[in-house]
Amino acid sequence: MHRPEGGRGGVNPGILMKCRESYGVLSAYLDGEVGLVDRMWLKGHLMMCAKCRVYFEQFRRVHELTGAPLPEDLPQDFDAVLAAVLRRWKDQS
Amino acid sequence: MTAHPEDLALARRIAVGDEAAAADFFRQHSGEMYGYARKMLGEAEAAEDALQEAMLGALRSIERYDGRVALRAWAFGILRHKITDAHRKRGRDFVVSSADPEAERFQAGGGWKDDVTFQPWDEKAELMEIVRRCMDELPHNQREVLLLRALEGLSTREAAELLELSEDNLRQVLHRARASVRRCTDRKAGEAA
Repeated sequence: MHRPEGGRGGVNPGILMKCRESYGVLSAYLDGEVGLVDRMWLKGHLMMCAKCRVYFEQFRRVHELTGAPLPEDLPQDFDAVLAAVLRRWKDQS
Repeated sequence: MTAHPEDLALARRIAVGDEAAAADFFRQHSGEMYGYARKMLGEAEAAEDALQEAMLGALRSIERYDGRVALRAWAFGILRHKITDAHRKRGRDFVVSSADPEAERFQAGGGWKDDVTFQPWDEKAELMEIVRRCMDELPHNQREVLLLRALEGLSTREAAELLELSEDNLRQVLHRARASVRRCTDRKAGEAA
């Protein structure tokens, strides 16, 4: 049984979740968007599958590192840029 | 009924010409907007131009803001279009991918193929730096989803709306983006070891 990856699940994977199904719910799991049943299926699979345990840990690190906030440096002359934008807006309104 | 009544009230003040309200809004959000534009366009000058055009575009269309999504998300949607315009002006191709980076590594039965192995990453490796480089190599659509998802407080629904995707599509692109970054990081971390 194959479920589309990235989705929130909801498909009973059978007696045991397969690696592909485990892979398919990782992103939604880490975003807190899967239900209790899928969480249990995934945890059960990870307990039994060494490859998926390593994969999960790497995916978790990527989830964490790519979720770091964007840098918030403003352009050096931001006040002048903003003033110019406001002037153009006023001139045309 | 609006989901963001405070933002709608702010937009109405701006719409009647309240410059101070407009300036406050942009001072609060331009840092992350500029950071996003830098990541998407690469060059400071192009990012500054896109930010400037996005601010002006937002002001000119502020009357159309209806409060369904946060004003910040709406402004990001305008910035996203300005970034697309900047790419086109520079004659750059958009590399867009819907491929699943791991699809061919599974057996028909659903398990990993026998020759697929994973080794834990060395936590001493410069993972943050490697991950950033891998994000820069992503197709355009995957990079923008990952970057926008990193915006604090932006819901899946708002991210999907500003990217003009369904929520399920957004989740799929996001998953493939993360899987691509994992695979790239695995390769680069292995080369560095």
